[in-house]
Amino acid sequence: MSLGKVEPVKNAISRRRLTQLAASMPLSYGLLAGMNSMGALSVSAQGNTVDSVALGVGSDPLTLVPNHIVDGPTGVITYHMFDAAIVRNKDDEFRYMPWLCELTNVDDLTWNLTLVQEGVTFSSGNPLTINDFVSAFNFAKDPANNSHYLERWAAFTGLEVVDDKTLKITTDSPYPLAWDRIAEVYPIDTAKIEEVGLDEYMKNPSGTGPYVMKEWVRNEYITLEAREDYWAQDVLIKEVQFRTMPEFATRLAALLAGELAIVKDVPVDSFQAVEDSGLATIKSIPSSRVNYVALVTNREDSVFYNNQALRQAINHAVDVDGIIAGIFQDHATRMAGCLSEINPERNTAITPYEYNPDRARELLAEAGFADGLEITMDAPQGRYPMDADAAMAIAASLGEVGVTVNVQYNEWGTHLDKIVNRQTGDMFYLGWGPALDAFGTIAYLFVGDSTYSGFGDAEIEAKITEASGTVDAEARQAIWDEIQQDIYDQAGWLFLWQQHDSYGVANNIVWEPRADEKLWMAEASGA
Amino acid sequence: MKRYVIGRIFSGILVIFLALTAVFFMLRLSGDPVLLFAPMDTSRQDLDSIRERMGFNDPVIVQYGRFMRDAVQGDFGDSSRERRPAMEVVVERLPATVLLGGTALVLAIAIGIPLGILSAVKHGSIWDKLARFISVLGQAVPSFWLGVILIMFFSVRLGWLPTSGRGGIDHLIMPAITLSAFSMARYARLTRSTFIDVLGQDYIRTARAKGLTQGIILRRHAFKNASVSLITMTALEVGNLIAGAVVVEQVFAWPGMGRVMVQSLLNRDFAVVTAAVVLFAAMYTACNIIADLAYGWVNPTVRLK
Repeated sequence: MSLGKVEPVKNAISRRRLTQLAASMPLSYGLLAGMNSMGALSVSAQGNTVDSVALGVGSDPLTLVPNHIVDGPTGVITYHMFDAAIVRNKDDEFRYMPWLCELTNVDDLTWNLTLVQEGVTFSSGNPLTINDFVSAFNFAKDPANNSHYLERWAAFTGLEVVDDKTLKITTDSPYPLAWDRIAEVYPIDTAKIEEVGLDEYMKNPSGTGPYVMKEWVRNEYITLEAREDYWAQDVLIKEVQFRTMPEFATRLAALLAGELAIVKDVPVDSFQAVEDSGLATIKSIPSSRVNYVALVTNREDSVFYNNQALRQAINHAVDVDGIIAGIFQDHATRMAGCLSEINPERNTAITPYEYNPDRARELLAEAGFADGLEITMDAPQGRYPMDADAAMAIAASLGEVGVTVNVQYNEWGTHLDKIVNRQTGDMFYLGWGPALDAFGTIAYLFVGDSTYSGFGDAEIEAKITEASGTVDAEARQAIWDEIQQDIYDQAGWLFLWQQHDSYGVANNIVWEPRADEKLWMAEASGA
Repeated sequence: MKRYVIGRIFSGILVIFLALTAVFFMLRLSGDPVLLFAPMDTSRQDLDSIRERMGFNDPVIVQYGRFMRDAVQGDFGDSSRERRPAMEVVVERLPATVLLGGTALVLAIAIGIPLGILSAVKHGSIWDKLARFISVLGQAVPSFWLGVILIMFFSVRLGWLPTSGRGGIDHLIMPAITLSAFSMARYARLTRSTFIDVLGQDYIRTARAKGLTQGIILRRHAFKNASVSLITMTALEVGNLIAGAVVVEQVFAWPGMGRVMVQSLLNRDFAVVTAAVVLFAAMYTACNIIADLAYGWVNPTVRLK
């Protein structure tokens, strides 16, 4: 494998000006990461050993080797076998912390990835070296591997092994997403690949993670076995089987029959059945994923374009708290602005729009719609918790003040198509996450020509560019606060809620859900 | 006969070609496949770059020409998600579907035909009414609902059977029953109406006048004459079972072709869907040819031209 032909830098998410200024943002994160002591790695599970548990996943893994596929179930399985270079710390507002490596920002175009763990080995017995990170980069960037990530890695144009602990990574231009991308690097076993060949390695990989593959029956299940010599902690669940079960009703039934240990995304209306089973309980956690309704302003034909009063009217007209209490039975957390409570860069001064139908009618009149209006809202069905019911309730709330909303439910792929091609109605319902910093939400959803954006405002885009390029943490936070206030004042969205992830968890295991949606069995143990 | 078979094979190839063409264009109308596997934080430029790399930016007619050129050589392209040959993805699931579909067909025949005969012989009796009720129920109950109800009762409540997946015979019982319910009902209804018709014929009356027992009359005379329509239905039923497998395999997490078809459609994995359609169309065509040949075997008066 080799880096091969280096592609020119592509504009990954930020728009033209954004990328020119953004590089210094990660510097503070770098310092922060550097300040983390290795004590942060003390995440070992405590409790009893369990021989085997089974989990249901929606589809088969698409590969057993990380770094080149974007897929939920594949990610869950591969991160049990492979360790990342750096990880998010759930005990520190999900900021990055060192794991196998420490990442430091040298300048706008240079990062140093330094191996900080001693004596780590792959499940093959080969020692982990800095070259294994180079192999991971090369593997992801090699077009022959048909990587879904190919474009995501194109920004990294240079890799240089400085010494046996340090890898220098360079880009041709500032790249604000470097931290997120490098966090996705999972070292692969160079020595084993050289010994058995890449094809064989893909079938029977070795990583440095807590589990190693025991058996994979395609389309049916994959069984992972705990490593007794895992470097970071004792692993108490000795065997984990991921069963491919595409239908949620079947996964839930399997939990109730005692076949599965954890089932994700249990809807509110099934909580009672789980609790009554005597075999499992519901564990919920406010997720970092947010749900919102975009009030489209990046299209001139939208009724919301250049009409702030109308957008504010929508926010005053919808009884968001009532929907959370009624439909979600309080298993959602209301958002005041565009960032969730979990997000450390949220502007805490912002309070939610008051539910006030009278004020909404006044604003409607001010906006030129005293006699009401008719709008189409596109919504997915079954993608987010209770999304279809919530969309209907929003439409009903708006109907009370004279806004007739025609809800257009879409199959998920069609929904994405319509948003990307700017063919939705003037409102569309969407979820976003894991959203663990301001940039990761605002730069994607409030820049006019971003893929899934429904919002456009030149002044706010300029501020986003400024925030992304500000090195000083306090100064940058001040700009993010200002942007969030602007978005709130402009009522860029109908601000909804931070969804709660609800899991059915068997009573015989101890496992706590995480806000970043990571299903990490190395943290689990027997009851 | 030989000419007939060759003719049918050629018409089968034409059917597959037309099915492929229709599916190809319908899939292209369904939307952009790249959005379903690219992360949501992918920029519009990068999305376009992925489309370009995968050939989705070419005019549809160019894509069609390229697809047909490769398809006639047996190459249906690579799965965009699994990044391996699409036909391999489909074929490795064929045994599971054949096992489930075959078991369901045997169940449907083994229960449906005796039920239909009982209904016809006891025409108007309580047995007839009961058999008709079961037939209507089998056709009226959606397989998704039936599958979930069976799981909730036999797996969750009684704990007798596993909820899903493939393994021993215990794993096969509920999916096979669910898949066979509709076919069983159709067999029962068709058998009933055919037997009522046959049993009213003069030669049956003559047989009874000769003193033959009911069993011999049914076996030697009635069943043989009714079998032509049952063979026709069996050939058609293969299509119904394939369609039913799409739902049943999904509910029971059965690792067959129906499930891969659903998932590939939802993921817009065009290559896998087209490969599955080819295989389904070929299976269906082959069953029809076999049915045609079987007519002559059960009834020598039938000659194929």
